[in-house]
Amino acid sequence: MKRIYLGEFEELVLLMVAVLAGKAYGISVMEELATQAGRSVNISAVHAALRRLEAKGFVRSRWSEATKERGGRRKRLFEITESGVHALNQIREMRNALWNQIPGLGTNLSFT
Amino acid sequence: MMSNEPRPPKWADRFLEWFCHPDLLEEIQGDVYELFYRRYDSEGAKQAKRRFIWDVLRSFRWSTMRKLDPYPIMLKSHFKIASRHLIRQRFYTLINILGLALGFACCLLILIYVQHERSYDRHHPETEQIYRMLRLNSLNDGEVGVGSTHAAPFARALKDEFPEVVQAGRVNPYFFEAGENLIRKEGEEQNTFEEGFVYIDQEIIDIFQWPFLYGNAQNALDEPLSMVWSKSKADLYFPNENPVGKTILMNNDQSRLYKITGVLDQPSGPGHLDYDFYLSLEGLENSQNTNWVSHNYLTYIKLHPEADATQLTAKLPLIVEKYAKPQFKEVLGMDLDEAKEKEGYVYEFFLQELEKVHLHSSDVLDYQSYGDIRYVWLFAAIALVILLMAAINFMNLSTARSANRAKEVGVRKVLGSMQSQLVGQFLTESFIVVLAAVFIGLGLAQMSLPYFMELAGRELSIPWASPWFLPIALLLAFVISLLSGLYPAFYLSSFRPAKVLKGSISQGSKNSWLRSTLVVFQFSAFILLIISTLVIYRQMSFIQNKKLGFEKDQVLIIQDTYTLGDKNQSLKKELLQMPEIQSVSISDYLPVDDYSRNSMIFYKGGQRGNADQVGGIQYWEVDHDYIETMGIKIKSGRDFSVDMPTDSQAVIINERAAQLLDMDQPGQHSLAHPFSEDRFPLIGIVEDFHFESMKGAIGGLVLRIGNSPSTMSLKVNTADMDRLIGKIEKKWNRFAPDQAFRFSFMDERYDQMYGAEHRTGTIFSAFALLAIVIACLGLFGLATFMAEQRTKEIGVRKILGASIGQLFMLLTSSYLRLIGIAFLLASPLAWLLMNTWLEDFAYRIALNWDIFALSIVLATLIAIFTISYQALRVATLNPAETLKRE
Repeated sequence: MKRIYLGEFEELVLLMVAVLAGKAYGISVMEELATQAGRSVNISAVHAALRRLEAKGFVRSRWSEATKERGGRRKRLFEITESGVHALNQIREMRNALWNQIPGLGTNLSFT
Repeated sequence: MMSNEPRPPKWADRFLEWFCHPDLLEEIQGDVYELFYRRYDSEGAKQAKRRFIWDVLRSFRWSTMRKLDPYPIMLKSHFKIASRHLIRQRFYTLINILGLALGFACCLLILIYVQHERSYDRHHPETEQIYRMLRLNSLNDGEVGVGSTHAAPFARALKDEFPEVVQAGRVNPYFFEAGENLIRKEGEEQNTFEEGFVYIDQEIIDIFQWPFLYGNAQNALDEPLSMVWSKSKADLYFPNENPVGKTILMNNDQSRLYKITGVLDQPSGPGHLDYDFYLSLEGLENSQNTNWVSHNYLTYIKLHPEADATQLTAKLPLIVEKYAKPQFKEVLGMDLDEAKEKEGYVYEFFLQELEKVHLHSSDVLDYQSYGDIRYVWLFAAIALVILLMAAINFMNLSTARSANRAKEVGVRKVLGSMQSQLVGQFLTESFIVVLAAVFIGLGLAQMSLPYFMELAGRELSIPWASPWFLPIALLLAFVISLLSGLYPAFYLSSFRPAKVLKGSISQGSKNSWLRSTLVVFQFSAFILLIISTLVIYRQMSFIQNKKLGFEKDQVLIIQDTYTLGDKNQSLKKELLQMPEIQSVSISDYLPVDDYSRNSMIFYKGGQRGNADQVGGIQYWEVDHDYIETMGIKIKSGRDFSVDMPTDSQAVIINERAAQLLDMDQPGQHSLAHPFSEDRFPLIGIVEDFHFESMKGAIGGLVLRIGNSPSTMSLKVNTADMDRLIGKIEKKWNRFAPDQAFRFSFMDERYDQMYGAEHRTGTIFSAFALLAIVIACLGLFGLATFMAEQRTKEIGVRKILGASIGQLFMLLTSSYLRLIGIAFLLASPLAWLLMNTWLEDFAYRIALNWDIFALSIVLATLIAIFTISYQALRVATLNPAETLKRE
């Protein structure tokens, strides 16, 4: 199996890109991270993660139409690629396999 | 668009546009703008602006930065072309890199050495307030010498008389147990031999503020028989243990048990008072004496921070007036004022800055070994010369090979290259070569460091970890590549394309005046180093083989014989029964360094209190067999005789002493000295022999029968020294079973006397050799190129009937002329330099013409040998082969 190099934050951003389905760009990902994951990060961190993901081929980007609220600038919209999906799947499968091996707990780990 | 529309801070926006990579700008700028407008609505203008700035600053990352745009491409091309070129011209590249790497390695090692020598005694707190006292004093021969030893009460007197002297302490590395001893922990049997014992006052610790690992620095040496150890020795004897309070036996002396009262921490730099065992001067009778006539103590003072050393020096004659003068009169019968007036007698004190002690004491007459500032400068100069030679090689080869590059330059220019771009191209090439050389040089230096440390006799290390080391190495590489690459770069890039492409510079190695100058410089350095090496080598072998006046070969020295007590006479008797042993003498006074010395004043004519007195005469206690064992020749009179009981008072003197005391008839004169009422009849005069290093002239010497039981000298006659030593050791072990058998050979001891000179000589010749190798590398490269260039010319000449011999001469003669010029430049300089060096020796070789002749012959031979391979190769080529090209 080919190792997949995906940092924890990158994985989270990649998931957000997948969730936002075609409407993902810097700010929307940042907001989703804040609301859904409770992670408040700077926009530059999101940009960096997106750049890395694009370099790894897990997302691809295209330009939107120019918008007024950005001073006439275009948005760079991201969407997940095949290999991005594959990467997320592999990570999940590996996690599931590990979860199943925790003795006596099955899939519902509980500490009560 | 409305004019009062909110806008983010202008400078932050500009900053973003300035640093941000154009590909990323729209996305990042768009997002931060969008955020700004949203926050403007929700959080207000102030907060939005603040957060906008923060977003921009956070976006300022390596990955978002605009890359220096057009440059990387040019740089990449420069590197590519340069490395292709360097690989194609492997041979020259190798010569260049090798020469430069050798140069760097030498340079680095020498610089580390120089740095180490200069760092002595700079690490003590308030070191600039510490001074060593020196004494300017008339010697016997009317000369004035500088001494570092002083009278015992001198330190105290300085403190009493001058309030600006805050502390004053004494050091004595000469008497009693200073030097070497046998030590053991109390309760153990086996003794160990240790060196590096010295007596000091507690105030010396106060002055230098040596850091203590264990014990109390304030009062460590207040008590008699207390001692302070160095960390290295404490770690050796008491690993992981606090040795304070432990009892130490020295030389089996149960009556004087030493107590360890402290351990010094590892000093952070080298100091000239670094010893291993510091013994307290407290309780020693000699240290309490009030005698101003004998000088045995090194004296150090610490001044008040605001005190002025020159002012203090001006006040020092007070000490002479108040303390020394009365005693000179009383004990020596000498009136200082009168002597000053009549004979110009000199007796005065001055201060030496502590930092100067190590390197600026070559004129101080004591038995300490110092560094020498002149050698430090000499070595630094050699380092510079070697580096220059390597750089010159580089320049020479680059310009010489210009012809090969001329076409390339022409084509590039036609295609539109600017000169600045071509310069960049050539500088890149030289930078690659120099950088490679720096790293190989660093590796070479690290590998050769252990050998170099042995050569230099110093603990050295390359300061890899130091934050300035690598940057400086890189800076050096950069500067060198600029210096050596700039000229070739401008020279090459200035070719006119029309000319070059027509072919008129393709033979363009004609601009040789600069190259000739550089070659002359190299050869001058080369010849200078050869002459110096020859002189140093000759002087050293002169000393080694000079008739000493005593026999140093086949003399075995057994140490520590005093531990036998009265039994040493029985050991002597038993040893004499061995057929290989010719004679045995017991005396600590040997004519090689590191044995006892005792300087004394004697009166002419045996009249005590006589004003006609001679100081500085060595006064040695020997036994009846001394003169025979040492092979000293008697000039007149007779040797000591066991059958003459009166000989216990008699003395034998050397020729020099006879001359100084003005007495030449044994049996008719007698001597006296200030510390005894007795008169000592003179029974014999021995021929002068070198009992001190040949750096000084032979002084006066008086021998008398006495008891100095530590050392036994054996004159032996055997081919199998190992077997004999085995036999002696067996005997020794019967007499002293707990005592290690320790011996040395007198000829080895003799060689050690010139250790510093030997080392200097070896370092010098090693670097001279390296310089020669570097010069040869350059010459070889140059010769190869010249031969290549003239291949066609040689072919034509051959067809026209030139012989191989003629062609060989043609190719080498230009170099011979350069060697001649270099010789004319270098030999006067070498003469001057070597004359200065030789002045240190009272007994020295003459600088004869043959050394210079030999040097030029050697230089010529080495040069011809270097060139001849290429010259012969070209001269013997078949002209049909060389002319068919093109």
